Amino acid sequence: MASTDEELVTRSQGGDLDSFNQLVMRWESLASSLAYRTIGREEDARDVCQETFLRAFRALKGFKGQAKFSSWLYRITLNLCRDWIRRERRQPIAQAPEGVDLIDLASEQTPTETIEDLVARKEISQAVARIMADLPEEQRTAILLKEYHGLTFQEIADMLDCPLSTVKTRLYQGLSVLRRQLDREGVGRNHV
Amino acid sequence: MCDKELLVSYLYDDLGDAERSRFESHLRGCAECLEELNGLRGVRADLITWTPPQPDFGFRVVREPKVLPMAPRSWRAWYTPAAGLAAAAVLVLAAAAGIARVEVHRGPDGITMRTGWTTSAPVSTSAAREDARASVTRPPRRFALCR
Repeated sequence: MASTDEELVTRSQGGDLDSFNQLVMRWESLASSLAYRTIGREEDARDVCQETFLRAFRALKGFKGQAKFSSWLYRITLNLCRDWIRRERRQPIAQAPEGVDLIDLASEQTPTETIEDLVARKEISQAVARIMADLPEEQRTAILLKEYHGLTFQEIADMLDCPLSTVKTRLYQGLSVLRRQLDREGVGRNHV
Repeated sequence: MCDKELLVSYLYDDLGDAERSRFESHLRGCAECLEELNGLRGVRADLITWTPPQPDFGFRVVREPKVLPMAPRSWRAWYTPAAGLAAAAVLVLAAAAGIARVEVHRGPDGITMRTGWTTSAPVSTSAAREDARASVTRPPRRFALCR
């Protein structure tokens, strides 16, 4: 049976590097996704992800388990993303290409999906990435943590050091902007 | 003005039974909230389409090998037959360089070496310097060392 995060953390704190690397394997994909969706650059997101685990490793002794390991890791990731945005002095970007290449898409087609469905899905994805990049950071972060990482409202509030009601307001505002923009661009489901 | 926090909680199925029933009865009488709820559900479905690339992972933390401090050695320890031969070879090369009148000149084109026998082309060091810098600023990305 696989060890829990808590068990791996305890063993890592005792100096077991293999246990820490199991945590890396378990969480690198999600940490990388969070970084990518926050800053929009694949290469830089990978660097942020790598730095996240190095920082986590160095700070592991001080991790007392007040929050889940994943929440703690996400907080480090978000702090590093914020540093990146400040350092680069720019907004996150949407890296999606302008056009949709049908040949590239063919490999992504699911068995039940027509090529028209696939093109529509790609267009929605690009629009979502673009609109998310323009959202205020706190709204974007609330949406990312809720939608893609399944954190509870309370976990998000704890991580961002803000009241529960603020998390819900940010989420509502961000989703409302997305809805309006997607409607304006005529992509996505009918949101009206 | 309807309670948007309640709407968000309902959207994410984060209400207790009593609150949920209350909100559902509100929805039956409020077309605006119902329309907004359906719109936000649509947005959530659209959000699923945004999938990040899955990079080739393989990042692992490895322990940096410890460098053992070397014990101080006296000059006698360095004096071996091989060391003597090497010193003799350096003397021979230095003498040859003197006979051949080796000149080293550092100019805008790089370093030029000239001897009394032949004239060499300038040796550009800029490319080599560039390589060295690249190897310093681009450490291997897949592994990280820790002490």
